[in-house]
Amino acid sequence: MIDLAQLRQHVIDGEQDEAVALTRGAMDAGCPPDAIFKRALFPAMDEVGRRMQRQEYFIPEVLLAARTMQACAELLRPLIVTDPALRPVGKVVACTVSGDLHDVGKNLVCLMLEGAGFSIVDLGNNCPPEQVVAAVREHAPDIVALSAMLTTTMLNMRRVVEALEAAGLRDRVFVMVGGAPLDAGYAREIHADFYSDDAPGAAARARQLVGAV
Amino acid sequence: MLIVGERINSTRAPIQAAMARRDGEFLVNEARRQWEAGSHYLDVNTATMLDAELPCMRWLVTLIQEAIAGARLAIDSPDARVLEAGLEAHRERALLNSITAERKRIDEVLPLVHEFRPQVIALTMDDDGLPRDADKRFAIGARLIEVLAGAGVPLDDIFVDPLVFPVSAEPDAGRIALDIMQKLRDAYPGVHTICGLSNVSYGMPLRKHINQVYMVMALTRGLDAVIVDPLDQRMMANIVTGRMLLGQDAGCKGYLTAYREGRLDVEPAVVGNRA
Repeated sequence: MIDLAQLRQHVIDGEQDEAVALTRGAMDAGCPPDAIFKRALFPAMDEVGRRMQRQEYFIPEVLLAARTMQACAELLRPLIVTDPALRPVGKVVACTVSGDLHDVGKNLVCLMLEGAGFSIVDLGNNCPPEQVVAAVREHAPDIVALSAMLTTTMLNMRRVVEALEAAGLRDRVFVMVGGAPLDAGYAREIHADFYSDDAPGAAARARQLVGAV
Repeated sequence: MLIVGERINSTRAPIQAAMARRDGEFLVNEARRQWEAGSHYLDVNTATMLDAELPCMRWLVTLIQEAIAGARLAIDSPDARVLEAGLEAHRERALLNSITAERKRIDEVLPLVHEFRPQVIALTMDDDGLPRDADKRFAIGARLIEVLAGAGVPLDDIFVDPLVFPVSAEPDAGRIALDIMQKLRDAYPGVHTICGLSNVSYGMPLRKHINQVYMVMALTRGLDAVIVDPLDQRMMANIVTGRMLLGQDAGCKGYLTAYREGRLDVEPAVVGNRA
């Protein structure tokens, strides 16, 4: 019997070699990939998110766990393509907005979203509104995730929302925003759909939005 | 070691609130405490005032300089017009925070350097952003030194900031910034290096503790100016002590003076301090 609880624990602890070995063992033993995701990898990232929110876990530990999860998911990728049970729960286009080069928060949110079953299109840093619009056209995501860490750059979030409206795409996506200088009031003001003050919260809300809870 | 007091920064909520309600007493008090704690410049950042930024900068620069004899300020804004207003209102020489190697920023800020002759902080970023690796950031720093020196700024008035990233996200980030400091120091004797070092501890518990240790490490690599909270007594004690241990304190005078003034009697390291 494959010990998925043990795999889950290795991911939480960020023990990549052990986690990858267990994943490989599970695959060899014929364990269905969706069980590996749903009973080990996703619950592990859930727990990591909870620990982060309780300030028991810090960014380096979250990153280690997320990389461990990614390494396991990478092994499973060839199987996922053929398994409808493992289609992503949704797609997210993410970036930091124009002028903002702080990507720690954006990267964390991407990792937590990935750990919650989303596929991610990461546009990177300093993305002008036109680039976001083009990415929404190309990838047809469920969610656009915008990050800003400066009071001066958070103003550019509004420009992205306006650009999506102008392009007639606003109704097709949820816009989520986050970053140190923001709050829920600002999100409402610029007509974003929701705000989260941390990465785990963003992942949880994203799952609600796409009806994956 | 040139100390730039960092507390009057509009990204801090109480400061922004005080700026918004024009609470001169609160802001002058912040300034005074930092000045008396040994700052050589007080940073004044008004960025979050947005449309109301320019008058706020002008008001605050005038107010602080009237209230505290001899106080000198670091004029800190993303908006060149606000920098101009601050420099205009400032008596004697200010510290300009900051120029970058972005084309637009150079075009806007260099004329101010010509006109007001401030000391200048130069950030190692350019139009391609903020490179992660040491060689690229060093190259940007070198380019900025040449631009500024070419514009007639004495090397002694140039402070290059290697821009430190959080170690929480990149384990090498602390070391990389130290390497850039050292490289700049070796390649351009006479130019200063400066660092707003608290970014190094972003996302970690006990940030003050990390900042205090990193400060001492940076001292050993030639950092000779820093943007810090001068009310952090352990930070200040570490600087005094570190300078003595590096032979930068003739006759240990700075250390002994600090000792007699009780400035070395600081709280035990980090116990119970979970800020």
